[in-house]
Amino acid sequence: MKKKLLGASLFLLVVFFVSMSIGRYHLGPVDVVKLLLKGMGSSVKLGPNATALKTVFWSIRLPRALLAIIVGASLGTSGAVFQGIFRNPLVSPDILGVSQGAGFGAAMAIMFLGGTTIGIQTSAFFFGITAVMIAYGISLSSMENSVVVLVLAGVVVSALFMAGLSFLKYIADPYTELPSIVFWTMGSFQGADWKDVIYSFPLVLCGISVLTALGWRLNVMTLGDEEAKSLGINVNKMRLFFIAVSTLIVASSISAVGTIAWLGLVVPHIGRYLAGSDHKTLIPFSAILGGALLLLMDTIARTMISSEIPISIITNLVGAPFLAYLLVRKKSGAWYGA
Amino acid sequence: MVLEVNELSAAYGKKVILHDICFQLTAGSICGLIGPNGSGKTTLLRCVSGILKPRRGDVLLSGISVDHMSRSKIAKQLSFVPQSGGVQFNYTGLDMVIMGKAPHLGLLSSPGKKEKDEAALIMESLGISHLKDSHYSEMSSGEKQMTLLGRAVMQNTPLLLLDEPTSHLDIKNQHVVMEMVKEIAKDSDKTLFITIHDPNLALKYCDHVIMVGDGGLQAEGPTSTVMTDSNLSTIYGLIIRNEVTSSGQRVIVQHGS
Repeated sequence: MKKKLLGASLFLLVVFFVSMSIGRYHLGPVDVVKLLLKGMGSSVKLGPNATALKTVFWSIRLPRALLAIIVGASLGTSGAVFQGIFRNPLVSPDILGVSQGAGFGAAMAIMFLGGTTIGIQTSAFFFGITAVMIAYGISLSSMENSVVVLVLAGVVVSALFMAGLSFLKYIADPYTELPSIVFWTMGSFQGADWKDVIYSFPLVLCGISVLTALGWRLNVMTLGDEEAKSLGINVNKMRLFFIAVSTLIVASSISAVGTIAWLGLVVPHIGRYLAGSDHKTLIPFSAILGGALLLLMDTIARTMISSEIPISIITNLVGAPFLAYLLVRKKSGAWYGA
Repeated sequence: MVLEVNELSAAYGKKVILHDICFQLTAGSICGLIGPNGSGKTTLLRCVSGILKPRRGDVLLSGISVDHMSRSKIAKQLSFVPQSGGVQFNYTGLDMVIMGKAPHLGLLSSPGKKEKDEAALIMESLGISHLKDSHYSEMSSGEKQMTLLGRAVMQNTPLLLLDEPTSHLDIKNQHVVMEMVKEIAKDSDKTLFITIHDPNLALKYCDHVIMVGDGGLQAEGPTSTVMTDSNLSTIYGLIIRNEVTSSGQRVIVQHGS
């Protein structure tokens, strides 16, 4: 278990150094190490253009990379948790309407709250959580409190928020508001700063730690409701807790950067293939892997062409073929009867 | 008394499945639950394990009403061995057995070396050590059933409920599993409550039989006195007779309808 997590961490480290180095302003790996040492109080010499190096590194690239890691980690984690509790390989937080709710919330803020960053984030977060709560409420009021009902309730809620978002887009000012809405729903790390990192980091770290600690319970829950109940687990309470924590970390991270598609679906699959099905390992592994992959994709998004590409275009290009591959390959390494 | 069921009635919506069921189970016995399809056997098991709330009456586990117990309390009193269903994830036989420890561990703790050794020991004593590293989803029905039995032993409860443990098995595996059941009851003074379809298996392995038909209790008591021609003929609506083979073994045969 430790070896696998170490391997994933090494991968993350490599991606981090690559991402720090490349970009319009070139920084060598040596410069990156020097800057980090300097930041920790060491007295290394930086060379002639020290100020420019420092600005690029500390104010632009580092916060952006850290935010990408945090968001990727929360998407990877919550994907692993959702696929576990719903016992379904094709589930991610999106299925309960987090993304659609958050998108609607962001559009509301852009149109009616002046479109300030803090307004967009708060509103996206609020509506993301609301969407999941409505979906969960529907499933609770149904006679049959089952996973299928919950997933279908998620579809219903997503559709409602999609309709709301489309309506907002229709009445939005096509020259000012509409582009911001569209840009937000495609996701971007362009405006990332330290504030975003500081807001989301503690919540995401706590969430991932709690979910990891409960990982073995989640293993038992994947046996199905009745078996888990007979093994002494309060299934309804635990499921609500898992959904609430994963939704919280996803909502807090996508409210900072906009919708990011597919990552929550793809990462746990790769994780299960490389690290096995034990959620005790799979959850932290998916977190590290998700962080590394999103950082890699964001690095591609900002360096491939001279202007930025919205991150969801990259994640879609990678994720959709991956899903097709899962559908075609009948028996995956870790999923059976699915 | 390990299990007491008092005047139990159960229903799904308006449809009454069971009515006025009363019986008691003592420690260290194997009790068979017999009845035709749709007679409410599974519903009875679901009520006993507290998953379905009975419409009327109550279920007492070691003297305490199931209704007043939390899931983890119930899981320390009874373990449930389902019909080997599909598991979506890639767990090994050992992983599956260790999960029996769930009700005994704190919320945030997970099993370590001690639990692993304990599970390995249980698998050895049941003669299924060779399944430790096999993937559960790739096991045969018989192997799955034995692994689940191992998990119930790991759960270490006075009462074990088994839902048709032999129904998907070939004749050899049926007896392997039932011998295992016998060992568990004998070695650890546990009570096993088993739904079973084959009356001959019940005849051979069960100490007591509870017979349900048409939602009510048809008969209960020691196996030899319950499995009579008339009781069996009534619940299945067939002509069924007890006969003795040339080697002196009692068998139950169907003669016509």
